[in-house]
Amino acid sequence: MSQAIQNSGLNLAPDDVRTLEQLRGRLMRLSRVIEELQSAMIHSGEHPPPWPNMHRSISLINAQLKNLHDFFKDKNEDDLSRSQILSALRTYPVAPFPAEEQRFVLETILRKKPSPDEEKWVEERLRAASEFCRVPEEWLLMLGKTEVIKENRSDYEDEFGGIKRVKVPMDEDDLTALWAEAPATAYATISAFTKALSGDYDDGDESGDEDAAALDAIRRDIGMVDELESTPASETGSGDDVKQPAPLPLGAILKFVSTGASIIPPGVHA
Amino acid sequence: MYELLLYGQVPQTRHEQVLKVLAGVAAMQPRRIVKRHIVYRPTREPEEPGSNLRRGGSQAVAVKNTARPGGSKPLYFTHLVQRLPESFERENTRSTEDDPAVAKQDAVSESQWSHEWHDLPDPVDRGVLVRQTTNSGAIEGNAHAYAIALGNKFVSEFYIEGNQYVLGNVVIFLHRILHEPGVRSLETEPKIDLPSFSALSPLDPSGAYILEAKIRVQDLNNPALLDTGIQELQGFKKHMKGCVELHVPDRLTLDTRVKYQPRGIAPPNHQVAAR
Repeated sequence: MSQAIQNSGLNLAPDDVRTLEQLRGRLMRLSRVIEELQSAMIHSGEHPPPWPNMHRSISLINAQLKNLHDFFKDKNEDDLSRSQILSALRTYPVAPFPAEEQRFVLETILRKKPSPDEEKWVEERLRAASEFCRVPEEWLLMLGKTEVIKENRSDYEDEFGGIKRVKVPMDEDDLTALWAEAPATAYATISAFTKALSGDYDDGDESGDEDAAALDAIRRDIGMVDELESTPASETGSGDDVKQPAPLPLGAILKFVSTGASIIPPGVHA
Repeated sequence: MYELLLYGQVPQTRHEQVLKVLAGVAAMQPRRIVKRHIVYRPTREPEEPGSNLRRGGSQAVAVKNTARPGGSKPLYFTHLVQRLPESFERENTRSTEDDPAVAKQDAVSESQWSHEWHDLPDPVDRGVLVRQTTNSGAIEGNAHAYAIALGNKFVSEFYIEGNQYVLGNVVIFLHRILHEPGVRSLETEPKIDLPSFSALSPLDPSGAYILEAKIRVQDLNNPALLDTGIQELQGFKKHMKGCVELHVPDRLTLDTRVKYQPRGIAPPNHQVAAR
């Protein structure tokens, strides 16, 4: 009721009121999801909440943010985008507002800029982001920090074997290129791994020593190769290049221990 | 006596590491153990399964069912185990002038024998292997003659070398089986003169070791005792997780019963080698 009175005092158009109401609904939903996540994090104690729950909350928040974004971009029937409507609105206290007692609330509401803390937070994140992706100039201008970015990309150099190495922070293009290559690299690694696992090892002669060494390294890592001799380096000393057989299955050994039956080699018996 | 058992395998490359890890876990130095196992089987052939049951025509007398209650009693492989002295491994370090072979044989013949029998492990899945064993030590006398007199015949012999630890009630034995590859299949009776240690080669061509964790329980009828044992063994398994994976092997791989060989087909002769 009092709202209605205030609204009448503010001379808001019905369209403005509707926009504000819609915005309020969306913000409520967003804040509820964030609160949920916050309480989950508080109640889960020492460890973060289970990953599936976190993931669910994050995607919900994402969806809500996307929703807000779309809302701002949407145009109403007068071809005015909502952000235009909203930025045209001005907050001002009407007569019944107890300005004396609620001074702090009033200041918060009327404040046009983020508070210094928030401004700093935004600036830090923008600075961090500008190190690896493109930030629109006007954002930086908005912050009044034009001198931020353009860092020297070669502040670390080093001569190594005649090749000049330069440490360069990756920019957005580099990252995109890297991610574009990633599936192929991952696939190559996985196929090498499965090849090493399945043990078809000798049929890749044309792939060369490097490949074989890589396969060996993989096998050693996963403990498939048990013999010292499998390392090419140590093989040179031993002289015999007889491939070490795989360990006998435990069952076969236990069987031998129990019965003394010759299980290996299979052709011993008459 | 009953044994609770878990087994794991350790590749040869990791043997040293596991040896050290176990020394740390058990807080003791490894105890070197070299044993000689001689496997015997009964001279008598096992009865055909179900032969004590009536079959064929209805003329069979009903009494026959109960005539021989022990008819299907299984026959088991048994072992003679000889604990070999440490000198068995160190033959090369002795001086030759003192007739090392004689001294060594003296030490070997003095070492004790024991006659061991293991039952087929319990079919109940308790998370560990449970089997009954008997172990009777012999202080003197000809152990081989004793085993033969019991109605056994020689099958083969092999050697076990390894290190033993004791952690609480768990006996940890990291070992591998050695044998004389060519000679073993030719033997018809146990060797009088032991081969040199260096002539033995691992049964497993890759040289991998076996980790056996064992708890001995005297009485299986006391469930609380059994549970305590199982829990301790499972605790050890959990403790070793990531170092050595211990698991319960298929109980039939530890089957010590003599298998029935149908007549008409000659039982495989272990003493004849196809070279």
